[in-house]
Amino acid sequence: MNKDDWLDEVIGPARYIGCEHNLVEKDPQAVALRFALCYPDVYELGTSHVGSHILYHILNSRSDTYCERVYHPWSDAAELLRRRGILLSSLETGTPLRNFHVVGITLQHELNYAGVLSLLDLGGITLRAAERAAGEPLIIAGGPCAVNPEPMAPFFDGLVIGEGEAVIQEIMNLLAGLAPPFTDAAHRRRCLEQLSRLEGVYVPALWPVKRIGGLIVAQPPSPDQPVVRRRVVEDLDTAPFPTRPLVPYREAVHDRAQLEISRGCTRGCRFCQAGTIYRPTRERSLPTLRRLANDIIDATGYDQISLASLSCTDYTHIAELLELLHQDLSDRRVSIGLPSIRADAFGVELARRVQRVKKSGLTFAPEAGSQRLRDRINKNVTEADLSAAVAAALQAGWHRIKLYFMIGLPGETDEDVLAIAQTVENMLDLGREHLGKRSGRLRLNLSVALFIPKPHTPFQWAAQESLDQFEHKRCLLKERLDRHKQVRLRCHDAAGAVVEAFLSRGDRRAADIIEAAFRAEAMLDPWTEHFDYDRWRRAAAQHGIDIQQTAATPLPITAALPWDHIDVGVTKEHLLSELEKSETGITSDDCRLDGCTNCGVQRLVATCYNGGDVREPA
Amino acid sequence: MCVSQPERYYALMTYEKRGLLRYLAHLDIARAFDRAVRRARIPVQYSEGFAPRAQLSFPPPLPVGAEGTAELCAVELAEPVEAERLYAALAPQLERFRISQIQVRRTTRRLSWGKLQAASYEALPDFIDQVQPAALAQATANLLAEDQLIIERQTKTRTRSLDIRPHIYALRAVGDAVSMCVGITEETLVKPSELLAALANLVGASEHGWRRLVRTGLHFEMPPENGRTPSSEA
Repeated sequence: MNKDDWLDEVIGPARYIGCEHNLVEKDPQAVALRFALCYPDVYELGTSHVGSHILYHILNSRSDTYCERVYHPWSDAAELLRRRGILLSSLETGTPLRNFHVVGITLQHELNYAGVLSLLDLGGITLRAAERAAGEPLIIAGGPCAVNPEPMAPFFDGLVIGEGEAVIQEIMNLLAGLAPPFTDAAHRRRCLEQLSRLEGVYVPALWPVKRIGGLIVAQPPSPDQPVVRRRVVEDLDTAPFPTRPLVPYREAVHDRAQLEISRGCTRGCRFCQAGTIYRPTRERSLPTLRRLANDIIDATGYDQISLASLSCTDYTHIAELLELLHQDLSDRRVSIGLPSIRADAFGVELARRVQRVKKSGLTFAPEAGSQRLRDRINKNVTEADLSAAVAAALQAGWHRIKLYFMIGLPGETDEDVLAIAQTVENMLDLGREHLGKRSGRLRLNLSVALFIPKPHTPFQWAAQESLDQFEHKRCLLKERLDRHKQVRLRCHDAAGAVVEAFLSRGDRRAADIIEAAFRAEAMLDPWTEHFDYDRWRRAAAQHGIDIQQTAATPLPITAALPWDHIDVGVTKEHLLSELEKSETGITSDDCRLDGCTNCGVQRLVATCYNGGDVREPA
Repeated sequence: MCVSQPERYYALMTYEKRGLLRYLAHLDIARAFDRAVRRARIPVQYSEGFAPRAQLSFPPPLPVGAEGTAELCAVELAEPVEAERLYAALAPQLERFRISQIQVRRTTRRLSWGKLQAASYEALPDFIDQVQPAALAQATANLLAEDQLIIERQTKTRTRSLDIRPHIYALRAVGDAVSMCVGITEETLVKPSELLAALANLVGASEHGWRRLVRTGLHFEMPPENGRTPSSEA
């Protein structure tokens, strides 16, 4: 694309120029494999995604490969490119997407599905894998949403199930041997067959589908390949992590260095998909993290480094890590960010240590208001933990606290919703107790979202609440909290959550609906200003499906599920036992503290965390 | 005995904002320089507070899309450092901005861009297809012959009329392009787009801005008289 032709006419042209510090420059003629690493949302989000930085680094470390980046343009630029017939191109060399050998797209969020199609279309690529010409790029997806690959299956030649680092070299070695671009259909077919033999690579074209019950389910291509098993990085400490990540000019959503300290979480919250699909918990060692942090700051000049993890405070040596990083970086005026802390006094103490000056605000996620419901979802945070966390925060000088809650959790009653208000009021009491006359300074910002049942979680069979029920509960909460000036209630877009629930549990029929939504101009659905619920409803209705009703219908526990052929490690038996425990209000402990729960992940790795270094319970 | 002010040291860098970098917004450039200074690990003054920033300052910024061939940035140093050493450390970190020069200034006062008097620009008008070069040259001459040039300038809150003629120090057509030198202080600021709009008006064109704009110089010395380009000696 000739950049000069249109950049003067779009909002935020810095998104489209590339040229960033640490960008990798190679001679495209001198490599055998040209890889387009795509993020199906705008630049500011794509450049914030740690996984993309990791893959960019790994791929460009190969001398036979040049990996370039492509992001979805903002709507104005997308329309302009379509109108003028300009193909979406890479930032590194301005090569149109369709001229690459391999296109890799990450699926971070179901609401990006229409964006994936939009991106392919802007890049001049045939949407359906089955209709693609032999010479077109191989389109591969990865990322957390691939654990239910079915809704997007018709659009991809292959999907990587699990962690990209674990399998990307095998894929590239295989492709290097096949020497793309593919000359004919047989060549392309041979590639797909070989890809499907790699553990962790799902090639949908080879899996016939069958209607079982009300659902479309994929059938194994052969008896010796009954499932696709998730790939896992065994040793995170030696896994590659980029020390020279590229530094965007335009402000990114996470405009700071990010250091992944651990992966996986075994707390076992029953609604949480990340809590199952990234098991087992693995950590990088202190010396490795120290070296990485210093190298990254040297190479980027960022003034903040954020510790990335599903639960930072669960990192075994978190206090020592913070101390070491503080020693190394405070003289260089680099601050440390702890994005996720547990709602207890220990978490607040850690936050206090890193936030030595500015009291920007703390975030806790109790998720449910009553202990009864927190036990059902296995959010092992007690009222006492929360009170201690808030008291510690107030004593340390924080006055702004953000709280995450969910509405519509399985088994929730109006009383549970009102318990959210009670929890908030207890916090206001704590404010009066600790701040005295200054208690008016305490601000509580509630963020309330509609529960979304996700595949591979104990709640995967659960119904999502209807929008009407959500509205009823939201009003209940609002009425009770309106009297408190210090409390602000913000509700996530519930309609978006309905579409997300529908897509996350969809089968291959969902693909037609996604395509219909894309044809109706859906492309940046995670952005409220671009999301249009009616567009999705109409797209589904064209195919005889009611999105809300589908999301609100529980799945029978005996049913063959569309994602049953994806073995993420945690077994269906374990999920079922967790569901049963949930129904009787029995909690499960973290296997790192209390021994193996036999979740199934031990089948995937030689050493599960449970056999390793276990933190003593406090 | 007199009590002397503490001395301050500034590195004054001359850089380019060209090619695709013209699409950077001012804040993008400020962030990029802050990070470059940190990577270069030169002793600079940082602001106080939670998120200390290198003490960088810039003259009035260029609009997004406009280029600059001799842009300036000052960074306050924590201690005196030789210009050669600064250049060796900083230039590789700002490779795409092509630092051409670094001067170290010693002063007892804060560095002020208020001393900056004028800026030179080369502009390709977006109405160039609607006008002959000769007509453009005539229009610039006509405009300079006037005693005043009243324009409407919109700020966030209001629109006001002002006379920018006294702050047009040079203006001439060079083929398709317009070369100009105009005021840049708070009182004398003239935007190239304002001048181009006036020219468009004179030639009766329907467009009124620039297709390409390059700031070619920032001048610390006042031009001696209207119609001549001032010295670029800082």
